[in-house]
Amino acid sequence: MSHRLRRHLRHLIAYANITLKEQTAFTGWFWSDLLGQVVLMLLFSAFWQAVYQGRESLGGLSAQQTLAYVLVVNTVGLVVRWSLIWEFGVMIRDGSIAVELLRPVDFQLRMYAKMTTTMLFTMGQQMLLLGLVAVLVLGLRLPADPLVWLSFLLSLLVGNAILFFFDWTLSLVAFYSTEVRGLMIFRDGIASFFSGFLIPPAIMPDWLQRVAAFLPFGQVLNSPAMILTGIVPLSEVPRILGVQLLWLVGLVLISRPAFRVAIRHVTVQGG
Amino acid sequence: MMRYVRLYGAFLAQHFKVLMEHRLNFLIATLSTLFWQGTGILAVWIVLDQVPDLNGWSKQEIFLIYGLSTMALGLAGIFGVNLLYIGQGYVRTGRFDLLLIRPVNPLFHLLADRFGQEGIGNFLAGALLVAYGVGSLGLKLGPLEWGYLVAVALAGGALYLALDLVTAVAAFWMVVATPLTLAVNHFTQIAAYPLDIYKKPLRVVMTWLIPYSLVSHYPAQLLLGRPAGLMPYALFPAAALLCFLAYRFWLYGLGRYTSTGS
Amino acid sequence: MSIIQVENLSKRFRVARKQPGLAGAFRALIRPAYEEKTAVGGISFAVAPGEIVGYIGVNGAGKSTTIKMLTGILLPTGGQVRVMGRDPYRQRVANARAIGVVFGQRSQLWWDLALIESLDLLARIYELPPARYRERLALFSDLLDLGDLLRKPVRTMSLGQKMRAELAAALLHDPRIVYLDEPTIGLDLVVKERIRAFIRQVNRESGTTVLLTTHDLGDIEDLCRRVLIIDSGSLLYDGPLQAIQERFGQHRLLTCETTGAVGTLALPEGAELVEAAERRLVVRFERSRLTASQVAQAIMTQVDLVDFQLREPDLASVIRQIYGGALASRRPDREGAAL
Repeated sequence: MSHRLRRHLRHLIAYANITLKEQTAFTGWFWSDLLGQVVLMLLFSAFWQAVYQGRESLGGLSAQQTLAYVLVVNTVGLVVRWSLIWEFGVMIRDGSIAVELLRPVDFQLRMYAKMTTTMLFTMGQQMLLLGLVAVLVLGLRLPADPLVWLSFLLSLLVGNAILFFFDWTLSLVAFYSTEVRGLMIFRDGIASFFSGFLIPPAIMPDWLQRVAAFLPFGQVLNSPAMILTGIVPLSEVPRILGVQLLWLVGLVLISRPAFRVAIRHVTVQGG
Repeated sequence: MMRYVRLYGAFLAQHFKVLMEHRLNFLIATLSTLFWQGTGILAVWIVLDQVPDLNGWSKQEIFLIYGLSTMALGLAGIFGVNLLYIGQGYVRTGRFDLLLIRPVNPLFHLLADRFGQEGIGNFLAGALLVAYGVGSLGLKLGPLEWGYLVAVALAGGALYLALDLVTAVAAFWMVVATPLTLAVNHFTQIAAYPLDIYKKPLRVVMTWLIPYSLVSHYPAQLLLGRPAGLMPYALFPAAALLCFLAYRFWLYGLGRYTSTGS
Repeated sequence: MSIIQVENLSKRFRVARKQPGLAGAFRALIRPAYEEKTAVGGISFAVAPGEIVGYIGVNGAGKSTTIKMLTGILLPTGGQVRVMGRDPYRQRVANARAIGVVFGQRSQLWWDLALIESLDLLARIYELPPARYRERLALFSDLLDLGDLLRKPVRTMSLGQKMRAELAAALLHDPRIVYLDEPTIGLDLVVKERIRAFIRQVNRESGTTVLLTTHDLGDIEDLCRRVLIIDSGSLLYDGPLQAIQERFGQHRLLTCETTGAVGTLALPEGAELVEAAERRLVVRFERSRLTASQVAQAIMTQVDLVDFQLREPDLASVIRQIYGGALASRRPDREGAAL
């Protein structure tokens, strides 16, 4: 059993290495995206400072907390944007999905490895640069406690995995229809809104916060951001991580059989 | 000139035929753009509901500015979306040469070749916001003000389009210029808010350098009866100047393309 | 009076030189080194109205660069080009009104539109009066058998259908000159025949001048009486097709893979050894005098063959032979019409 696992792991690492080599960072797209994010950060920074003029708190958060939250969220917010559905669509259309399924390592895990390495390296570079801008130019102050950072990174990683498995299940629509653009934009919009990317969920009216609790997006961005900005104390971290893990397990359990059903649909269709 | 208007009409008719064939797609595209705008607007709405104002601007006034900017974005998108494709779709594939073979202005042909259906959603969202702003504030707009509003929308679209063109011309050097165009486009979001919330350097940029705010902030001041001097009219000469400069730049880039080939 | 007049036309490009290694790449970023590449180097020729001229050369020889300068897409570095008395670059629009182009690999039609709608739009672009448009449409529907094709969008068409559609599009406005780039590429023989017949007919009935760039020697044989051969930017040959045909069209190449080295080889009359390597033989023989099996048999009695391949003389070898052979001359002679 552990022998198979070791082999799996070796394959995964090798695969991740290959993916790394195909990443070309610092292209025009990279800088354009980066500039876009910086512009957004400038905008939000100015916006929230104006909001807090003449008031101490909003939604239970102080100006300093909200500003920190917004900057953190904008720095790592790229994780919300990954869209698996497009890749699926392409792979089905050109038939490469058949080849992918034949490969030795489990397809889902392989895609996860690929996505994570992308996030860590290409997006990671962007995130680091954005973080620098946030700290140096916009005055973001972050806690020095290494435990906080560790919890943050862990939460971010788990949150990212949650989004992956959720997207995986959602992306199966690509197996049934070629028209997925509308769904992509829909999911992007909802994810942006409920993950805290646009505004901190704490500031939303109660009923919206209840809706947000039903969706996984808060687990992806909001949870880690709350940890890093210190809005929630370290004592809360185990609970937050626990909830994230529950979401993760649940989604993993749903995504795998759902995938098998969808595959059957495609192979029955032929092509 | 008339010939080009009629020709554009012919192109448009063909695009619509294709759109109508895939009616569902068209609907989905429009709805999803509206939805996308909607989530952004909703987020802002929630915040503005909880604060009396932002640097002296009320929620409705802010949405007036937001709407003016979004309308211009929509218009530029409807007519100029093909500028995003000039690199991958035309220069790289050699399709650009086919434009040069025809007895029409190649820029015209490029713009006419694609209809930006995504822009419709943006335009609608913007128009709705402007309507909301005007209505909820009880602004009494006479025919002069309505004329001004329409002129702002059109000139705004032209200004946004001119800036898109400037960045798109880079395709003649870089082949793929889309990232550059998108990068500058991000500044349109800054223009969606009153300039008062920004610090001086950014205000200067948005008024004089990447003057998107000439379309939103200053016209809003006029419509709201706030003192603004001549700035609300600066949009018109600015749009004309930018269109002129953008076109000259286009000709320059085109000249370079035709001397060096691809 | 020539409809196309090219004098000492040249085109030079500045190409950034790629420098090897990491240090080179860095250097290239700071101070790029350029080298000049001559795509076309001082060619001259003239085409009379109503001619069908073949323009051949290997890839990279300068064909497309020349065509681009003739159509006004590319600005020449030196020399002069006059098409219908105009400079096609400076008077692009006026020139464009009277020319048609078919790029074999790229479609000028709109992908999603039915053919008839593409043609409608083109009629508007070329300002074709409605009556004339209907006339031309009827003519092409007949000649190219467009019929049902008119309702089909281009993306659903087969290669052959696409080519017929392209030709209709290129000739719709009755241009005086049409530039055809690889018009029969990838098509089967029957369709090729049809297309060639169409081109001949249009040339005959409307007097349309045709400049044909192609790799297909069959196209040339069928359509052109005159051929221009370009290689490495220079015009190698400008003259009647017949001369080339007589010299090269009659041959076939037999390439054999042998088990061992070959000593002297006795070949029948009409066959000659072109190349002999360690385990390879290339024999050229005249089609009119020998069959491939005769030649192969003659070889097999002397050497053991592992494999062999029959080929028409490819363009590259034809050109190489012309270059090294009797037809080469710096100032090609032009038989026939005075300039």
